[in-house]
Amino acid sequence: MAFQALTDHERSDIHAGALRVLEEVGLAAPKALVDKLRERGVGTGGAGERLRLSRASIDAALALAPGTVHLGARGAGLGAILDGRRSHAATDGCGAKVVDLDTGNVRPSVLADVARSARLTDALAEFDVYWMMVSAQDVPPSLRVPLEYLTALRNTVKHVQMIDVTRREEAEQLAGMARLLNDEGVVDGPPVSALISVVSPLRLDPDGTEAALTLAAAGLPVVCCSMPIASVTAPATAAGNLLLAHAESLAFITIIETLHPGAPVIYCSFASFAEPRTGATNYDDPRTGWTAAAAAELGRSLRIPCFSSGGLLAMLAKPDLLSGGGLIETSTILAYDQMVIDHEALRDCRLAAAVQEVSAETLAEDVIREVGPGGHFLAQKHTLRHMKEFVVTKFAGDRERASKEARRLIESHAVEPLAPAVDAALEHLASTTSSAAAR
Amino acid sequence: MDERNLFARIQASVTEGDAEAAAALAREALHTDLDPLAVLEDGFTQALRGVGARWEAGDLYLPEMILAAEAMKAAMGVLQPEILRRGGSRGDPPCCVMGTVKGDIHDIGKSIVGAMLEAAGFRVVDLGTDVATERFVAAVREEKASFVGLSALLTTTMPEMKAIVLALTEAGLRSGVRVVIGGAPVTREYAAEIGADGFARDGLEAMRLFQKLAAPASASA
Repeated sequence: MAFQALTDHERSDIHAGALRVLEEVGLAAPKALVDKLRERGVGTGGAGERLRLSRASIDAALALAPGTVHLGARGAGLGAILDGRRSHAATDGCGAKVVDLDTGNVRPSVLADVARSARLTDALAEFDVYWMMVSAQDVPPSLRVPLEYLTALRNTVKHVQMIDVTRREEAEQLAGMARLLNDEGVVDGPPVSALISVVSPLRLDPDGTEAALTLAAAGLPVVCCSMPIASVTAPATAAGNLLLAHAESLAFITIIETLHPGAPVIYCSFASFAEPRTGATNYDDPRTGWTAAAAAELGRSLRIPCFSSGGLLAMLAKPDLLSGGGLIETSTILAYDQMVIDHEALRDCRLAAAVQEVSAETLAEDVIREVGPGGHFLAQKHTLRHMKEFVVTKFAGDRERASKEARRLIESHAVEPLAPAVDAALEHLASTTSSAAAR
Repeated sequence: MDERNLFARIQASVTEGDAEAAAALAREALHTDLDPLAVLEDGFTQALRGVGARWEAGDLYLPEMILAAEAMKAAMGVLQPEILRRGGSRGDPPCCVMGTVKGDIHDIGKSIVGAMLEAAGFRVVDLGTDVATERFVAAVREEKASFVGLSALLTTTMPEMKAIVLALTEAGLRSGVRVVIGGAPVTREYAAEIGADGFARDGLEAMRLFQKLAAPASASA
């Protein structure tokens, strides 16, 4: 279906504006990083902890970034090839709370919730990628990321993308586990990737950036994300918000490609809006859909994989990845029933975005002729042939039914286990805290 | 000088969030016979209270509130030295030490709450982000703070909040301060678990909670 949020001219304006911001304003960045980039001839003007990027260095970095990124998976044929041809849906993440399936009460999330949500993702066909949906707060912070990853890996054969990698040590642990999975032939391609965000406006998290560079060095894809909130951490307008997000993601990509040429990166702009009275993020703002679509168009124009928030308009803009739901309260609370409801909405969204075929078969003149005035089409073979194209809405508006379905799938869905020796080796890597664990 | 006209213009400068005009009006007031303390209290503070009430009622948006608070601060910067020179005092506004905990550089939530508190008459000492535990303890001691506001956006940095509460206890300062925590992963239950005095989801809730905790009646609660 043809849809364009931004005209070519508007898209060029946003890109040119972002380049000016990066060249004239730059980002706050750790001095060591700024120095390292300068050694490679990237970063201009100013001193100390401000990183200003020239258009030439950004263009050079974009030329180095692979146009296709592979997200590896345990399941045969379930890896995601991000090459602009299909929009893959990830779950939502990363919450810190859960609506308990038994009590209905909201409680802090634990490792068992990672297992349950990964298993449910595995069972729900429309989800292509498991985003780390919740943080496991019942394990020590130093072990959290590797144990979350291992738990997800045990419970889904789809690709796992981490969201909360905030330290180099965690990235090293993931890299070690990924290497083992590749060496053992369990996964072809990067078995894990991570979304790491610039802190808007225009600030690099020193630890998160170091983690991103560690992952990039290991060949693991990094989603170079920006999440500005209009009127709070970005201009109050959708276009200004997009410009800032575009600049931040471009800067992150430039840093990674300069230091690790050819590393797989994914452009990601999650520009959102604030609730105007409190300043809190408001994903229900009516401009969200257009903004997500425009973000995807900006990403696609760079000719590298892009990630944007979900929804019909975003789907029409064909990002390589989009976030597909399962969390409530501005993505802070995992709700298993919501995963089932959002999964159904995702299916409908894909269908709504699909172009309907117009041909002799679908125009069905013969059938209309045969039925004639009055009568009905229920007994037509043509109807039978095309019935499978209809969908049944089971869960929208029926939380109880969705909850039952979530429980049924979590309890009954079987996931192929890891080979015992691989599982044990991963467990050893995941439960060893020092960076030596990742070799 | 038409006193009523001056106060009306002061009111407008705060309501419109015009910091430049507010500072200019404060300077203008210093050239009159008016007591600068009265200008501050009956003019600027009164105006800001009105803005705060309208914001609480949902009639104003957050940027309007923040800009009004900025206007008030600009005026205070002009009036305060003169008030002190004349030996006056605004009284002793409660001091709140605020910051985002170690390992976390997200600051917007904390900054919004800080602005709200300043608008509500608190003296806010903002330590910034990635703040080490010992800096919170030192600031509470040095500033004689009666409140501590802690922010964390990551579940991995949340445990720092507990460490700060413990450090305040070990330093013998805990009984003199109320600790309020916030941030996306933080819950009421977590606040109770680590021995904090309260939790707030957003700026509005935070401002109401701080005001409640600062009210004399709450001292015995």
